[in-house]
Amino acid sequence: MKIYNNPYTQKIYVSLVPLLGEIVAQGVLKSQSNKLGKDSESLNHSDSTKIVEGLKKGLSIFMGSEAASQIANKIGQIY
Amino acid sequence: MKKSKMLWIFAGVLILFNIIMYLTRWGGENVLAVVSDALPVLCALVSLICLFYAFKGFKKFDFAKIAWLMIFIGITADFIAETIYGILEIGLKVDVNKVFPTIADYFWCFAYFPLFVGLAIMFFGYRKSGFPMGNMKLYGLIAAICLVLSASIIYYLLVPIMTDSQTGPLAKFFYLFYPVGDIFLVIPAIILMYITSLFGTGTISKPWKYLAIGFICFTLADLIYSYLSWKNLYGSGNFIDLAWHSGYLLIGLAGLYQRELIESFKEGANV
Repeated sequence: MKIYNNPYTQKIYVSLVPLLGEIVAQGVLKSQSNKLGKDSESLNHSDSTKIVEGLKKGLSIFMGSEAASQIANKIGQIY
Repeated sequence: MKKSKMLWIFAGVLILFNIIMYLTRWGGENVLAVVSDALPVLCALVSLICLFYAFKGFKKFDFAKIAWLMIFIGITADFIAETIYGILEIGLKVDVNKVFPTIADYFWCFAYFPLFVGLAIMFFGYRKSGFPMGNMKLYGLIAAICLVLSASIIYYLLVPIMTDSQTGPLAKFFYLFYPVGDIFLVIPAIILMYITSLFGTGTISKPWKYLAIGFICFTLADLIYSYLSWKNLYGSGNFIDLAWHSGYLLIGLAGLYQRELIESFKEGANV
C-alpha cells in the first residue's frame, strides 16, 4: 500500500482504499489534487470541501447521490 | 445471514441440480423439457426480485437509480419472455422451433434496449465522475477484441443466415437481431468489467463486476444458441442453458450486493 508523507492525504487514502481499491484511490487523490492545482502531498484541511464535492460526484454513479453524500461527508470530516 | 450469501447457496444448489438433470436425463424427455423451461423462469424471477430490491434501495431518482431501473425493466422483459416460452412449449405443446419467432422473442428483443441503456448510463456516469479510466491502450485492445468478435459473428453467423433461402424474412430478422443485440450488450459489459478490475478488492465495484459477468454469460449463450437454433440443433437439456441460468443469478447477486453496499454506508459501517 502506498504511504503518503502528508498525514491528511494518508488519512483520506486509507479511508478510500477499502471502498475504491488502491489504484482508484490513488487516482482519485491525484485527480482531485490536480483540479485544485496541487499535488497529492500538499492537500490540507482547507481543501476538504472541494475534495468532498469531487468524491460525491464520483461515488454517485455507484451508490446513488444520497449514500455518496453521506460517505463523502464522513471522509471530509476525517482531519 | 446476508441475502447475498443465501443467494449464493441457492444458486449453487440450483446449478448442481441443473447439471445432474441434464447429465442423467432422469424422468425422460418430458421431465427434461419441464426442467429446461422452468429453470430459466425461476432464475429470471429471482433476478428481477433482487434487482427490484436494489432499485428500491436508492432514495433519490438519480442516474444510478435510473441505470438499475433500466436493468430491472430489461430482466422483467426477459422473465416475461421465459414464461411465455415455457407456457408455449410445456402448456400448449407448441413446437417453438417450427413457429419461430414466437411472442416470447418480441420480449427478448425488447429487453436489449433497456439493458443497453442501463449499462451505457453506468459507463457514461463513470466517465463523467472524474474517477480514473485506466490505461487508454487497454481500451484500444478492448476495441480490437470487440472488432474481431463482431467480424467473426458477421462472417460465421450473420452472413450464412442472411443468405439462407429457406429462412423467412421475419425469422431472419430475429436470428440476426440476437447476435447484433449481443454485440451491443457485451461491449459495455467488457468495459465495465475492465473498470471494475481497476478497483481490485474495493467493495464499491462488486455489483458492477457481477453484472458484467452476468451479461457476458448471456452473450456467450445467445451466440451459441443463435447458431444451434438456426442449424436446428438446439433442444431441451442443452448445456448452454447453464450460461443463461448463471447469468440471471449473477445479475441477481449484483442487485443484492448493490443494496447491501448502499445500506452498509447508510449505517456507516465502512467508514
